[in-house]
Amino acid sequence: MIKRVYNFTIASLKMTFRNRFALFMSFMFPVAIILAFGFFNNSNAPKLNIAVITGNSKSISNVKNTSVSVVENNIIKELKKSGNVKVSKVSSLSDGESQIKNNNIDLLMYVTQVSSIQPILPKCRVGYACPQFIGVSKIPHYKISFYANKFSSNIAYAELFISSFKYNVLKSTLTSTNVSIPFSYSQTLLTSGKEENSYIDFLIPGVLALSLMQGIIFAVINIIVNYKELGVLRRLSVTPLTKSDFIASLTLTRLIFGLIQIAILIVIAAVFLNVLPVGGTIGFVNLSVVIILGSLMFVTLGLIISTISNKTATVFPIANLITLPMLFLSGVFFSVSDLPSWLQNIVNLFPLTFLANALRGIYDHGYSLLTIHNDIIGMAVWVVIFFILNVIFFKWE
Amino acid sequence: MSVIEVKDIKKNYKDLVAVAGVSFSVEKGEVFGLLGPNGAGKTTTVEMLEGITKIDEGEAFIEGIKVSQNNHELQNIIGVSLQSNNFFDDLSLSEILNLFASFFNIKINPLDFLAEVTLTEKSKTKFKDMSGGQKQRFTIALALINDPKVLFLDEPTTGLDPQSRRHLWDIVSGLKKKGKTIILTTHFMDEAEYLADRVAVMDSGKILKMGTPKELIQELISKGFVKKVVADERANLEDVFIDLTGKNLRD
Repeated sequence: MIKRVYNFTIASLKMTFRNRFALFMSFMFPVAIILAFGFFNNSNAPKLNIAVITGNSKSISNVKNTSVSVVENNIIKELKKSGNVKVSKVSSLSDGESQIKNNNIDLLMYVTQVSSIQPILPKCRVGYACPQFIGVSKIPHYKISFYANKFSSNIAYAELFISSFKYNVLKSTLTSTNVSIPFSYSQTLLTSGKEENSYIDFLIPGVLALSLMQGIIFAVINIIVNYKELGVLRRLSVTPLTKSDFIASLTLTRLIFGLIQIAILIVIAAVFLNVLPVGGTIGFVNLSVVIILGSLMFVTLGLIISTISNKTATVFPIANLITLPMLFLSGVFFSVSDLPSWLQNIVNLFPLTFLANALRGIYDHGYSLLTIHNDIIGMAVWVVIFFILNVIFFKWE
Repeated sequence: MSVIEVKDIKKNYKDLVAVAGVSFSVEKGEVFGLLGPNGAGKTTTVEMLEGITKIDEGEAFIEGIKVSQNNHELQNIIGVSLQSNNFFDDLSLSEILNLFASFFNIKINPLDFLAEVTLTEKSKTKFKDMSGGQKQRFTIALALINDPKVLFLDEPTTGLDPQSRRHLWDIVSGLKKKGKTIILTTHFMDEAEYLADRVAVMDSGKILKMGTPKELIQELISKGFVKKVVADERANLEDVFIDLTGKNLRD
């Protein structure tokens, strides 16, 4: 049996790689989605949501035009000139922090006036003994504190904004003659309550799951229905190749092809979009385990669909009917948590939801298999259900 | 003892009676023709013997093996060419032969089998790139892969041009000379007359008459049958066609 399965698997892989059109489609479809959404996401110049804390800190010197509120207003005025920034005001630091927690803003700015200690340098006449140090003085200056939202999808732009802000202040300080009060900065990363990666990080594991589902289900039903229509299965049935040999090599072929397909897509995502799975070698091992389980799930599902009808004309619409709701709802393009809760309860049981969640957990967060055990159990349950249905319903003809 | 022994086998598809009790036996080295119009039950009969279709009633034995019980043993001693023969489009002829040989757990040289049906130079051609006649010949080569004792050829010449048809006749004659027992279904009477040692004429799932072609013709004539248009028996129109266009295969 092992020999027959091996030989038939090798032959099936040959056929898969010789069928150029199908091969092209199985890579173009996910790559097109990833690149389209990836570039779409990149081409949209991000709008930074910046909040400035106003009216909360006291000035410690009463130098005209240099009180904190003047600086705050100047900053807001400057920020408003920039088209890529949306400015809002908050009244306190805790208020601003809660805005970050709720993911409402990318960056919080807080101006305070502090005094710094500066050495008083002696005025010495040439030729006289001169003391090295005669005392210190307190000089008021402004400290601008930046609080960036670590899990904002715009975090890179926020950081870029901070450095360009510092540069511009420095430049204006150097060129203007009457700026006498220096600035200092502090920078803090705050985490929002809901951990969120950028959209492309979210998208890629979902598209991997989707392309695995589409690739396997449509390949399986195409092979089965085609072989049935052409009588190839009938001819195979008069050889010692058994049904289980046939299904085992079909499964093995799709599994190997699925792993290759996902590997290539991961490389494409890494090269073109700089999105790499986190977690190193163990991450790849975990990914492989999940992909194998997912492949089993979709091979068995594909086999069931192909037993519903023997005709190409009806079996493909049926397959679409089953895969399309998963394509849209299973958390590939947007999070399942955005759905109404009654729908979430259903969608969370979809085969693709389990796979997409598992892949996303490993890919984006480096979760262990233990952490995502719910998704793994979910997929395993589907495999068992589909397998039993196949044992009951699958026929050669 | 007969190589094939068929005892009153029957097959029903819901209300349709496909085969309504058929019995015959075939001796070793014999070419047995099943004749009949479309829908007569030839293919169903043959597929029951091949083990593809379940026998509803009755029993058949091939080389003493009970067909309904020993599918696996049966597969090793029969060779099958089905009515619609399609294989894996993207594999070459050699690859398909090697793959099927591996199912039987045997090692073969594909070229030996292709030479048998004059397809040696096509060994690297993909199945999808062949003509109808070539596909039909390849199907026979593939049926021979496990050196079967009994060969089933279901309408092997349907849809072929006269050159391919005559060529296939030569191949079948050659196999007969090698001692293969062959069951052939056809609705071409000249084919049956040329190839079959004995024929059974079927209609509506029953065998109407069985015997050598000569016996059957003699029996008809003895009933006082006279052909309306008497052509010259020394040649027919197909012979004229072959004479004009030559025997060479066109594909």
